[in-house]
Amino acid sequence: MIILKMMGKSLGQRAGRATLSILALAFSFALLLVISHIHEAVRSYARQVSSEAYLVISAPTQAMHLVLYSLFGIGTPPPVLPWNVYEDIAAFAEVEWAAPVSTNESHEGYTVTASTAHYLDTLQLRAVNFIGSSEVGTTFRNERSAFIGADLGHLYHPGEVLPIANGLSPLADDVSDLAFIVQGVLVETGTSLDKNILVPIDGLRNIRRAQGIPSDVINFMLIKLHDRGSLAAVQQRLKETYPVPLAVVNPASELARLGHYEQMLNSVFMAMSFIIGLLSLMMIFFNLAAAFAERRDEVELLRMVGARPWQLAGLTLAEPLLQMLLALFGGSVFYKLFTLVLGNWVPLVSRIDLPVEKLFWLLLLFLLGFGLACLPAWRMYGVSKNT
Amino acid sequence: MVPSQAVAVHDLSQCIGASEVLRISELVVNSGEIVCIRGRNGSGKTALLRLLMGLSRHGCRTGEVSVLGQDIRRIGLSALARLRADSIGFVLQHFPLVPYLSAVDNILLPCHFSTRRNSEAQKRAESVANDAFRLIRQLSLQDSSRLAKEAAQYSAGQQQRFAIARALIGKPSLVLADEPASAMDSHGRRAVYQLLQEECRATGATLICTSHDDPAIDHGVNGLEGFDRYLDMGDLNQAGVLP
Repeated sequence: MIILKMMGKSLGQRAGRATLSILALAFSFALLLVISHIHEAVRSYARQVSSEAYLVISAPTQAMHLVLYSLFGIGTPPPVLPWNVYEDIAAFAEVEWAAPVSTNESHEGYTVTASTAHYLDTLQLRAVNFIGSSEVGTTFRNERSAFIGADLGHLYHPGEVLPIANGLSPLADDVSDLAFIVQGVLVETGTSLDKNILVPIDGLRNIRRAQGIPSDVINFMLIKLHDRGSLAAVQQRLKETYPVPLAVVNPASELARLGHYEQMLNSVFMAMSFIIGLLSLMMIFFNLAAAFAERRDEVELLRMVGARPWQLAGLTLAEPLLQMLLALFGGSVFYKLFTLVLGNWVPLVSRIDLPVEKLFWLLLLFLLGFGLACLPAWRMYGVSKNT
Repeated sequence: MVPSQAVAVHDLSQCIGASEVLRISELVVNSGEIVCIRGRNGSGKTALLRLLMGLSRHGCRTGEVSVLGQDIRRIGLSALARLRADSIGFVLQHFPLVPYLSAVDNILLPCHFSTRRNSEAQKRAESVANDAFRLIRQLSLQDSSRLAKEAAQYSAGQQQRFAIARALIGKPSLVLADEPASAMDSHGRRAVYQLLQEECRATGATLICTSHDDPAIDHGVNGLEGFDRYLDMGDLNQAGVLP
């Protein structure tokens, strides 16, 4: 008991330096956890999305561009495809479902994305429904229902009508008399979809027909096959023998390429956090070593009242261990706060829990710290044995 | 069984590095005896007490040093720790207290490391804290309620008094005090020597106290009277004297 009390009081003597070391170490622990978490969240999202959509098809464009736009809303929409191409491909025997996506219309400058429930499910979109149901979900109530992106939630009310226009900078004549009705608001995604209006593509095509717009086009489509084994054959067939030139992309292989760069970036960040952690541990170690010389008289006095060498070594070991435990606790709190804040901004971060195996680097840092803490403790044991 | 000789030193030669600091042919202090060793600065008083505490036993070249029946040169680490915790109270001239612990915690330190001293203190005053307060009151410290302050916040004289209370708590068999009143005024000195003598006589403990004051010219000013025996370190320590 007295050893614990002495440890606390002794640490209190060096409170300023100890607090700095603890904060630096906690920050490095938190960084390691946050970086691992983001890495895992991106990989998990990519895995999930690519497990649903086996192929993304559009008019000829760069493969990576198509994947980034279709699955993450990054970049500009690919060139348009005629609707009958979609119908033709959707009718292939190998196709389980096909989700056409059009982004050619707008409402007051906001892009209107039209598709089916498969598209919303693949991107794991969730919405708070105002009309028709109090549940959370993305089933369109009818073909005139619309979900507005999270960033537009404060601009529109439930039941408000949203007339749409052809193109993103339409003239007054391009605005349709027919409108969609706000059914709910999408939960934040952290992508450009937060500024989009999602509508059912059947409803959009009806409005196009009613307005006399001759072009019935989409920008891309997502395809799921009955059997992943037929993916290569279908991809080759569409690329080489289909009468219309197409970009046919397997998102899993494109994301794997992207994952390689993401992995490199992740490793750099992890290494930086690890180095910060090591520097913090060195700071704790040098603080202890500096205090060691000042504490020779104290050691002698404690030996005189009967303290054993192992008790004094334990006291020396317990101080950095306590600092590391405090840093670990602080780091965990920082990490939770980081993910909470980051989760509001990039929601896919809050969809996963960090797997236990990702704590390896944290454990390694802790073990290194323990090893460093043993050095002054061992020295203390030697010194007190000779007094 | 308490040995008849609390301290016995024979043909001792003690070195620090290459220099011989102690050469004592014979020193015997009987159990229960109250002895004052006086001598000028640098005469080896502190070196002798440190040796008796087992702090510098590796510097012994020759001779025998027995403390409370234990051969201090050959005793094992664990037994030495037990001997210090259970049986020896000490006052160091410099660094009397652990600076970040409170005065009370400092006084009670030996009771945390020795169950024997803990139970002796409890027997004497119902609780170890009560025994600590009893000793503090006898050291002319009026306000014993302000003992929760860190030791470093007290004056040198007050710190030395707390160190004396720590040395006496739990009835040790041997009390070694290295110039215990060096940082005090004459009133404090008298109180310190008086308490040390009274406590040791009451408990039957052996007291070896060092001082650089000369009792022959002290005339009661510094309270150095009342010891059973006065030894001159100059006569005792032959180190540096040519044969």
